[in-house]
Amino acid sequence: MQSLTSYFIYLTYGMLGILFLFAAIKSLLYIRSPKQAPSRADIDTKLLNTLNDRREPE
Amino acid sequence: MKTKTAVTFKPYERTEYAYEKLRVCRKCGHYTVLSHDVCPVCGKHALIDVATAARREARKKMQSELLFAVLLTLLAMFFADTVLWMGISAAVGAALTAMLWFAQRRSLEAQLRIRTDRMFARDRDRIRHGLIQDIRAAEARLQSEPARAYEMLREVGTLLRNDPIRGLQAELLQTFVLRRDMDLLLEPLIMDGFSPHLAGYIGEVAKLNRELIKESAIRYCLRYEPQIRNMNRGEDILAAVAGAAVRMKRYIELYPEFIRRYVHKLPEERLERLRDLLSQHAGSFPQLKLEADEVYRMRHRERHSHGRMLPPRDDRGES
Repeated sequence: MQSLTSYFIYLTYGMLGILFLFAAIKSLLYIRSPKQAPSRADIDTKLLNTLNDRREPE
Repeated sequence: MKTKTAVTFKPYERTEYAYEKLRVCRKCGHYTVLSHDVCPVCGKHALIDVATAARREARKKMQSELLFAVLLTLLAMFFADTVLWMGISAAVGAALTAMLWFAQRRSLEAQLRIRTDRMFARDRDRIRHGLIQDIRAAEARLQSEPARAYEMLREVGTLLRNDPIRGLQAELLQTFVLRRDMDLLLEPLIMDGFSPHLAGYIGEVAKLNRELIKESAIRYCLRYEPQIRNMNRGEDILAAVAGAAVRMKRYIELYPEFIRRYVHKLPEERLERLRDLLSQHAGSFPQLKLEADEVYRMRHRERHSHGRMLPPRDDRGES
């Protein structure tokens, strides 16, 4: 029982490691997202092109 | 000839972007541009605009991520074997969750745009289906409530831009008594193909509110000039458009030949406006100037021979 509880600390490390990676990657993606987000005009043009079967400019 | 009916339209609500007209049902996911409140499919008061829908989706995703971070923190605390590690787990978890929350808050606006874009890509067919349902709803009212049908088609036409919808709107408009105080639209109705209804409508608009005659309408008349001339009172339509074009120097520069062809049919004040503009640019458009002067001289002679006075000029406020 003693040896089993000593392994639990590794689970704590693991959880904190996963949490660190998850929070770091997600935060990075969020911080970078304003550069990648389409403008409202782009969204509008894209939707109109889709609905009216026009080819999007390449 | 069909008799025209007197109608009133609701003013057209202009939005900065066409997609802002779309509303989606929270319950059944149906898209529509017609209703603001009640879903036409499930009948529930669950319609929201796309910005709200995107915000809901983005918030939901962000909250799930925060919940996941809190869960990992709690698990790390649960498996910690000492109070010290429990405290460390709580502190690290809280700090990382706060960092994530802060990053989410900072990029909320961008996330909304990304969500909206993804939502449209995902629901493409559903949006199209919703708009087709809207057209069917408008068609069902064509006979009983033509004005309401026009209003509905006008809303659908914001997103679905094709000749059949534009043609139907122009056809309906030609059955109404149009007035200057009506919220009339012209630019969105300009079609690729020729429509006598649209040509007739352009002619009426040119007389009622010449500010609505813009480059696209003039180009349409130029492209289909022979067909319009062959219409009943087709020359009057073209002359009205030429008269409206005279309000801006730019249009005179772009379409001097078109205007020249209809100078002889321009009303007095339009002719004077044209001559005013041409006199400000002596040496430009010699043919047009010649024609305008000739028509003016002819009318002046006729007026003198009939002993009539010049009508007052009531249109001096144009640029």
